[in-house]
Amino acid sequence: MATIARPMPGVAERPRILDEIWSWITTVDHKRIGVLYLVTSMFFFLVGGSEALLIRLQLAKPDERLYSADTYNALFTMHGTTMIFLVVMPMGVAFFNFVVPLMIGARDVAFPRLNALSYWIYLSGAIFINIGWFTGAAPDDGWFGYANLTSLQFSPGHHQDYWFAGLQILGIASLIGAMNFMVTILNLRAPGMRLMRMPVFVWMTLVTSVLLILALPVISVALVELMFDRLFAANFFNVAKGGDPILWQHLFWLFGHPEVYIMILPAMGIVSEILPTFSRKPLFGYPVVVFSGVAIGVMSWGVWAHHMFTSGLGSTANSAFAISTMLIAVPTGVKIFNWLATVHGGDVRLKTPMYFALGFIAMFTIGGLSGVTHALVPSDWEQHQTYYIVAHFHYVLFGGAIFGLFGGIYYWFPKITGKMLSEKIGQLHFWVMMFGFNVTFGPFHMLGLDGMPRRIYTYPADRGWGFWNMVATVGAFTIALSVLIFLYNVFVSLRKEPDAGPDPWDARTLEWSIPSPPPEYNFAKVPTVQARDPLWHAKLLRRFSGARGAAAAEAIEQPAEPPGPIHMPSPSYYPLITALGLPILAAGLIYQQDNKGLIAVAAVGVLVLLLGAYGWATEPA
Amino acid sequence: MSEPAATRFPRIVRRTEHAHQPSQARYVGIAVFLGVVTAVETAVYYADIIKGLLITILVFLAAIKFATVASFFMHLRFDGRLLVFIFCSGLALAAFAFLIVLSSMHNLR
Amino acid sequence: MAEVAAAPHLETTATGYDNRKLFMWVFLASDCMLFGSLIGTFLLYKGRSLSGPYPQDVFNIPYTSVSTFVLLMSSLTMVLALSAIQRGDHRALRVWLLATAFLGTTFLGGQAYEFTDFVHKGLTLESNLFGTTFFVLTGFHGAHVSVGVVMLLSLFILSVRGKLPQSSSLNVELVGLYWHFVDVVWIVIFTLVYLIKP
Repeated sequence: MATIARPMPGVAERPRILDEIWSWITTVDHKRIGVLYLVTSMFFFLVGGSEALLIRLQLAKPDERLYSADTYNALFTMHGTTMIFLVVMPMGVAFFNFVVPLMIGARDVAFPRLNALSYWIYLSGAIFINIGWFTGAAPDDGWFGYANLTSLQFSPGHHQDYWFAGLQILGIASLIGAMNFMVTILNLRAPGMRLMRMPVFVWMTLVTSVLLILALPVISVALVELMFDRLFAANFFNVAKGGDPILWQHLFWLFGHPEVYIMILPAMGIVSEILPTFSRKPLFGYPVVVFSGVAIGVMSWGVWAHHMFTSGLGSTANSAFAISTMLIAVPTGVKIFNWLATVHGGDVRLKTPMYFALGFIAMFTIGGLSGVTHALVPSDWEQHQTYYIVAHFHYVLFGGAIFGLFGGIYYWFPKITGKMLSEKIGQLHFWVMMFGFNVTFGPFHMLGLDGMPRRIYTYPADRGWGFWNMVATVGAFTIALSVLIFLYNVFVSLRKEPDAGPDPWDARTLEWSIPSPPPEYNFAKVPTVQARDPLWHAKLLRRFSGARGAAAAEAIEQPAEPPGPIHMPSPSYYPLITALGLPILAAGLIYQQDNKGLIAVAAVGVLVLLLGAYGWATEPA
Repeated sequence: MSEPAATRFPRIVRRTEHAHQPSQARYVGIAVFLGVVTAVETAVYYADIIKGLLITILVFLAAIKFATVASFFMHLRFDGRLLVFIFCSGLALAAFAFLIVLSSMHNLR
Repeated sequence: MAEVAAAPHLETTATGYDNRKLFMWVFLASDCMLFGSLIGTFLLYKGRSLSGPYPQDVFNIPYTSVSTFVLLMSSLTMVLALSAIQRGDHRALRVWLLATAFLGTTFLGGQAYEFTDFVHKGLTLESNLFGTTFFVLTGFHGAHVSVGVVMLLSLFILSVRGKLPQSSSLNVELVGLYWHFVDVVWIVIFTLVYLIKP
């Protein structure tokens, strides 16, 4: 791919923008892939947020008829699906990508091309699952797609086809990524980076990856069974032939419950990084915080049927799961106390990342408390299917996960771009978002306890639900305003000259020992780690321990230039090509229902997959 | 504090220790064993014994075959504990999760 | 990957396992959950079909136990292939790779014949719960075997073209791990699906 070095008469120079785009398309650099994930997930945050605003417009007043019930069903289905699979999960992965290799002192992940593949599959799945908006067949059976509502009999048309195929594709992206990160964390740690010296964010990435690896196959099977029922007249959920819809619920929630921890653990990891840095105090009880994270991961396998308390499993099963659900609150609470103890007595600096981290603690605690009330079966029987549940999961997923992720954005933006986000605009963003968030979701507790069911497109005036619904709608638009403030902050800050330097926060972990943005090879010299919080350790050694300290500090400190040449993995377009095979295959499978000949499209998809894999396997390193 | 352990870490990727390798004859012996167990399974299938005992014996024999292939053919017996832990976690979780699903749907007979 | 100043050509990892070997084991743990879910579904619906054909109407246990034996023997040939390349015996490697692929294909042929026979007896994907769960479970297993055969033949072709030296024995080991896993899943399926009577 030659670029013309100097202008020649009669020949136009290729615009550099094309080279730039090509470099992004073929990148296998974890830092760039992290940025791709961040930008894409932020885009879908706006999409999912718009779907939420449309929902809130409809519900602001009783007896509103802005859209049909079917459209409303599609809106809440896609809002949930988008926020979970296209926003919170990938935004976490954005940070896994950018930060984890830097935190463990590695040059990249274990399998860079596989890493790129995960991103391109995510993007193609994200587009695929949204195709229905343009063909009048958006998925509309809820983000959890309960059988047998999702059967061909009760959900004709392609709505649910896009849903199961899109989710299947997205699942593959997450699975590949999780395996990549697990091997990276276990194998590519720098010398001296023992497991119990790893930053908590890396630990949470590891636990999240293990959960993904073990949980995704279960939903994969559920989606396959649904596909066989819809496309090939199988009987998995066909009640007439003895199929049991409860099977779907078991399979879905066996995945679904670990899934919610998959969504929250990365944010908890981010909070565990921000709090010590901005309290200028090491994390209180590091081993306990790590152990709690692992415990949450292990215990997450024992609670899934608390989503099924009203499905008729019987009192033995219900009681067992109620107890396990109450128990899982314990390690979570332990983390909160350790976080509070970290801040207490510290030299607290209230910068925007710290606001979001503290906001996380407050909002997640509220969400956790309502969650504990669901653990009790009798009260869950009142709360289930009401807005009380909606309140709970928005407090933990928005007030928790999203706040944590925004904290991460403010914290690591300087490392990614070399520029600081504006502190003033950042604090405005935080407070407007905090206010808007509570005004939106606080009332949901009341509405739920007052009996307002979920998933209804309108409600009558005589219920008395109108007031809080209107309040919530105002809150939702306030959230939207805060997002605009954030976007403005990004826009304005990117236009500045670089002002961050390598270590604007006087931080503790290895990513702050290298320039901002980092060079392609990350570390000029592979660091040798001697302690937890290795950068603080090195800085303190250099300042206080004389010549011996200076020698030890040098093991972490980075020279300006690498001592010798460093071979980095070459870019490749095969991940993109391979990724394209999946939506083509899915489209063929779906549309052969309408026209048998279109099975050829599926064959083309398989061919693209095979060609991509072959090119991948045979290209030079 | 200087770190003498840094010399242990990272570890050089293990080359297969040939000393630990079963010989070809050993492998054939294991395969014969597996074939014999399969024959026994088939014979037990036709035996006139109560169902509970039948299931116990068959599951036991299957477990023996599973463990044999995993330990010797997949080399887990000679590889380190991490790989055993990873594989057994997946296995144990699958067994645990579906035992609970089946028992909660009154299906364990 | 971190450089090692003293011996730059030696690979190093924090666990001492090659990245790809660790990846394969992680993948196999994941695949346990995949087959666990399919087998769990099968066991849940076992004995719950509202109409036939039922397992005792279609199963031919001696036939299937021969199939099982074939797949077990393919694990033997696989491990002999690995042993061969580790010794540097490329001719033996190719013989054993081909033998494994052949036995795997024989197994698949046996499955195909069995499936056709079942369909003739009225057992299909749509007929009842047994048909649905049986064909999807064994179909997924068969798909895994097919992918395995493709990988075996790819290794064979690489070896014939001189692109599979002794130093690349890990590639054979990785395909071997996958192949043995597929065998081990069949061991479970043979017992739970075929041998345990409803």
